[in-house]
Amino acid sequence: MAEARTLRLNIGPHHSAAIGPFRVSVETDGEVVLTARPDVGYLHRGIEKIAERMTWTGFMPYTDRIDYLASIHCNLVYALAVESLSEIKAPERAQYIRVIAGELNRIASHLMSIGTLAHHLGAESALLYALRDREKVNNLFEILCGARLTYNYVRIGGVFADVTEGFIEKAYEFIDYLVPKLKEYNDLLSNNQIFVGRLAEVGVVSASEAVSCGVTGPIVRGSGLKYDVRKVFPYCVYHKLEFDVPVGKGEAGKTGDAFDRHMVRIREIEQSASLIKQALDDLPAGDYQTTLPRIFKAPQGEAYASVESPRGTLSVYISSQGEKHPFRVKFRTPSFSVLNLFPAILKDVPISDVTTILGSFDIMASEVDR
Amino acid sequence: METREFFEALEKNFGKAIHPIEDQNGGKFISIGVERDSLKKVLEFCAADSSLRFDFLENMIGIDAGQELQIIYRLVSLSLVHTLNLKVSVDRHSPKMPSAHETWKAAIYYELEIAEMLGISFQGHPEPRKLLLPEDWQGFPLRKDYTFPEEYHSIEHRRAPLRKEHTRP
Repeated sequence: MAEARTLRLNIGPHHSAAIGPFRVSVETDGEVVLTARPDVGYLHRGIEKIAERMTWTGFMPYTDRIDYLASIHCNLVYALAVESLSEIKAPERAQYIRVIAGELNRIASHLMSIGTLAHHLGAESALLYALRDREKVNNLFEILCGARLTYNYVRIGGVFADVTEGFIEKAYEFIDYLVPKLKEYNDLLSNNQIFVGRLAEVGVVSASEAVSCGVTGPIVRGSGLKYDVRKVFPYCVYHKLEFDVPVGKGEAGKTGDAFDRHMVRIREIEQSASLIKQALDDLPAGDYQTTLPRIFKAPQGEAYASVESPRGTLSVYISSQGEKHPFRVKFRTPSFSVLNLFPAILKDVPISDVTTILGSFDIMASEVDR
Repeated sequence: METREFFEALEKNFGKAIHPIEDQNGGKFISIGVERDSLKKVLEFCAADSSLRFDFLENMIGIDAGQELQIIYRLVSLSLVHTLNLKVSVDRHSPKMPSAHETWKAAIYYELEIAEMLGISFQGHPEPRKLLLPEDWQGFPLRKDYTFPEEYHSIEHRRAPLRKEHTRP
């Protein structure tokens, strides 16, 4: 009788299924994956240690680099935590601008995710379509804050620049342009039999498994659980705005499969577009920033803040000793917890599905490593 | 449910192992201290009790608080929509903690990170290894007494001492 032989195969560190360097070591028997172990740390920069050497305000640009596809959310969560600790209240106008910027960022990130997932499955054109539309978001951000990727836009106590008339006009134009375009994505991908076939009943994550693993965002919503920080623990002005939380319904077979995650992202773009429109309509006049003392010191104590980033719950814990620099900053990033799913989900699946599953998880290496 | 009620529920079951509510700054971050020896049972209780139902471990935060090391367990109940912070202190010279991975799988990776960054060893962890740092990295970077290495595999690196003043001239 022939001896059973398994082969250890490295997927990554340079693999397009993860954004950034990220390695999965899989043990295979022929075409079937037996075990999978993520290996991370290629992008570890020790941001939490850097924070202890920075001033409270000076740390803001570093938060951009935690998740460079959702910089606004990383800026925002840190600003919210410091504001909570030092009892600064950002003006109403700033809160609306934060919502607009955050939702634009979510659209850009989801477009990237949808596009790259299709790209891994061989649908090149969808990625180009997605990049075309994401470019429009980048242009909007360029008007807003001068940067296209690492925005460093949200500040403790507000935002760093006010929105201009030109921005508001262009933002309305973009929303009117984007919503009909979603039909294009649906025709190209969501209703495409080949695409659906590759995603249906692949990488099924049950809601209880996801919760136990600490997984949030489109993955847990794809599994049918309606958990969104914006709804459950609202921040900024989300409690004043109307939006739905799309959840997976098992349209292609099983609830919680890769297709459900894809559909959740498509539908969230629609919701984000509606949120931006509402926030632009309601945008109050007034200040966009509060003045901080030149040497800002957060009072002694601890604070915690959470936001819903495109990939899930993004939280930060800060601890202050009343000095110019933080005593401890700890980020909880959504992609980090996704690693817990690997042993259960990447098991007894064909190698060809590994990229599908990784792509549908939308893992951001810089966010895992920090 | 409020932290006061959580405290009463925990104290009823665990007595002296639960420390008084810690609220340094007017309700912004309220935590309940727990004795390390009862931690495992307290966490299991938090996850299983029908009025608490903490099904989600949102975060585990390791802190070097000087005399001792601390871990904060940030618990969230998705079904009942409430949160709780549990704070545990551990001696910095022989830091040992029970692993929480049997209660929440999410603890597996949080614990790996805390172990390499603060040097706390988790008893019963399924797969202890270095996660973010290289295998041969010396020291625990997030401890306050950590000294930055000046050399790593013949790569020299010297950094300026931490500036005392951040004011402009």
